[in-house]
Amino acid sequence: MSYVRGTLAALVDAIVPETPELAALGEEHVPGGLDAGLDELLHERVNQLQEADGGVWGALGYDTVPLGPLVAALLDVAALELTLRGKRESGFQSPESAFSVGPYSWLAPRDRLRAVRMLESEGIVPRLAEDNENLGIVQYIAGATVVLVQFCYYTELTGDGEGSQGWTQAGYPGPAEGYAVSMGYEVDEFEEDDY
Amino acid sequence: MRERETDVVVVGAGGDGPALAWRLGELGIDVTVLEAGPFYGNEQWPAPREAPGGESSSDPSDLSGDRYDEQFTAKEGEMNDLIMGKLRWGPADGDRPAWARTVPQQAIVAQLAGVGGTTQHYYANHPRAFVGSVDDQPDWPIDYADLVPYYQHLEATHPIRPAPTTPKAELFFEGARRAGYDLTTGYNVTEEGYRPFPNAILQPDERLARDGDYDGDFGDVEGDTLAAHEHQGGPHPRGSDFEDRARRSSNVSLVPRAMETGHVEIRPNAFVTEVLTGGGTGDPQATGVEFRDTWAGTCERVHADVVVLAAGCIETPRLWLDSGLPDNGWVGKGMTTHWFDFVAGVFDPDTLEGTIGQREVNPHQGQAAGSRLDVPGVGGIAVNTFAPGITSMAMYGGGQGEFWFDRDTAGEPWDTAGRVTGRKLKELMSKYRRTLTLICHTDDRPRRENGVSLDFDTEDEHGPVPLVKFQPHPEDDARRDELAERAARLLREVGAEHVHRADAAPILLHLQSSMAMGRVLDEGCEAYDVDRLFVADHSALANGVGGANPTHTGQALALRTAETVAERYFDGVTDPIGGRTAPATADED
Repeated sequence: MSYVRGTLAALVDAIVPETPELAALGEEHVPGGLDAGLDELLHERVNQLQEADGGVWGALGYDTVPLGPLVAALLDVAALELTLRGKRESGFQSPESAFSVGPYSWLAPRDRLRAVRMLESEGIVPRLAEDNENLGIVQYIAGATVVLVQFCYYTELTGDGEGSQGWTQAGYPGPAEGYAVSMGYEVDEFEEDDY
Repeated sequence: MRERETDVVVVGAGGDGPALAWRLGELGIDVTVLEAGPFYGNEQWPAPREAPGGESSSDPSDLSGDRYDEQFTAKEGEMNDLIMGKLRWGPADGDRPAWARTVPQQAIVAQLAGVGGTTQHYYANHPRAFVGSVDDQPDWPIDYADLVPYYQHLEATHPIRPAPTTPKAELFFEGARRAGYDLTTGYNVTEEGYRPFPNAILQPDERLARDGDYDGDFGDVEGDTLAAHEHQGGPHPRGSDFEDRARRSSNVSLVPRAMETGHVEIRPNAFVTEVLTGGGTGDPQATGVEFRDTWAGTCERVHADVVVLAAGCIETPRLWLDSGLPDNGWVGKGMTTHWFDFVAGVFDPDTLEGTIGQREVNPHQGQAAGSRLDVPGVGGIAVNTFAPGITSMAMYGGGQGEFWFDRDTAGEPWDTAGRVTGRKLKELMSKYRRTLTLICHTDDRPRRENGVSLDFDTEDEHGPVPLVKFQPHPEDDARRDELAERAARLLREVGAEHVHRADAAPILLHLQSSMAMGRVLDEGCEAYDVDRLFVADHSALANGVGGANPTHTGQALALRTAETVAERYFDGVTDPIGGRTAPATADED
């Protein structure tokens, strides 16, 4: 498991974990994001966020800026900051086999999300961004990764293109041609009323 | 460099540009519309994400329902992935990433490139501006009454009709009734009340009654099929002609009309990088534009008597500033976003059975947004439903502040708030079919600190990229809080067992007023500081129209601006829409 993929796996697992305790709803509700390859998908998306228009990355032959290592490193920095500030709510945990070895992967699930908050608004990076706007992109990326995890998981992107674990767990049948669900009209016509 | 001439060049074929182009075409004025993104559903571009295809399209017979069906699969990942999806702010070339914007804060930007612009994923909601937002707020240099004839013209054209009631709409209506709101039936909103949305969606076939016996494949019906795929491109009913699709996005409704005039040409894959100016002393005068072909990378110029910017609230000011045009301090500023929030209610099957006669809400059935509550002066609340990916993203993944487990909701009208993760997320999403999601559109007010400037540290092939900032004022926060509380109360009244508030981070989707009339533009939407340069997109709106969905007002203003262009620089208008007292019918045009 690469450092980047393993660190993103720890984030994915904090947001959409395996949930054996939901087996009572049906076995289909047990698997989580890592079972659906969401860490790989997130890695791809993070590396597609920013086009490399010339510049150093362009000169090296990249079409896009490979932000994956930066995001992973930032999560590790945030994990350290969370720890140093005494804001962890749980002790360190041995990383899952899919995780990396950095400090982020050692955090308990909710602490991994508290670390994301460090990047968004509570930690040193957002503090520095008050004086250096370029750092504000970190706040954007931090929030975007959470959004991406949830969006990708509950679309067909984590499946075979025709369905996915997320769709199944939501009870969504996929696109349809239509539904006969009309119940008439609350208002037949709007009127040109006085104003 | 290749150079061409036309009467009017329009930058952007989004929600509003085609409205202006259509009206100018009707008046016999030649128009070239340059669109940065792809042209879906057009025979000139059989594989728009894979190959450059044709150059431009001006023949309505190019429009193809078959191509639309091939390209718009209604799968939310394929369509709505804002990074690599078909509907994104990026080039047609599917192998290239999205175009950059610098957003130095937590936010989601959800604008789209392509013919149709962001209406490609819109819900076709066309309420008029709240009357007071135009007549009582201090921003507009014109009166609400000036807009009414143009509203009426669009209402007859698209057409715009009251949305049908579906089970999820009835659940909302019943909540509104129990919460003490009255039904309103007028176009002109001055009082709070609930109503069906005025939607630009063709009414469904009468056979599609819930309690009827329709069991066909929907290939035999006209109008809306109630498939709830507006966000995924809304291509239904499949198999019909392109211009007969039920959801009347500007590409479906207005582009064909514009082409029918014989005076309008649309060129996709053309990213405008500079407004060309000339003139001697006094104000500069717009003379045309330079654009970059997004496939070939070559630059071309179009010279015109009038230039119209319709590239949206972010790109219009970006282009202005990248062109070095005069900045009076309000260019790109005063942007409003409706400061969205989302509130969801989860219901148990027995409650639903007793209220709407079925045991699920089924958010994936019926129009995506068919019912609303107006609260003039504060904003609006509407049913907003999506497939699961967008539901999770908007409702449970896009919040600001603390995650749900670090929030104390004791005494609050919601059980959970903020971003939901872990087992709780999966529990709530397992109840997707029993969830009603509401959106809050805040009447946020224009402020100079919100909007668009340039990021000189980040350049793409089109120049410095836009730097976009939005931070709500405490007064806007207070309005949004009120809307969220009203939404929660409505859901409780109708029996929600669990209410969640997203406390959304800024979502830059409804964007208005970054190049506003009265600040950057005069009463005809011509720039104060540049002659022959007009703006015809939502950035020209003077404010957020009260929190009503902005497209109806944006298109109405674009029609009015077209007539102003004709009056000021061409042969005038013999029968101005603005002078009509009775609603026009589509057949008259």
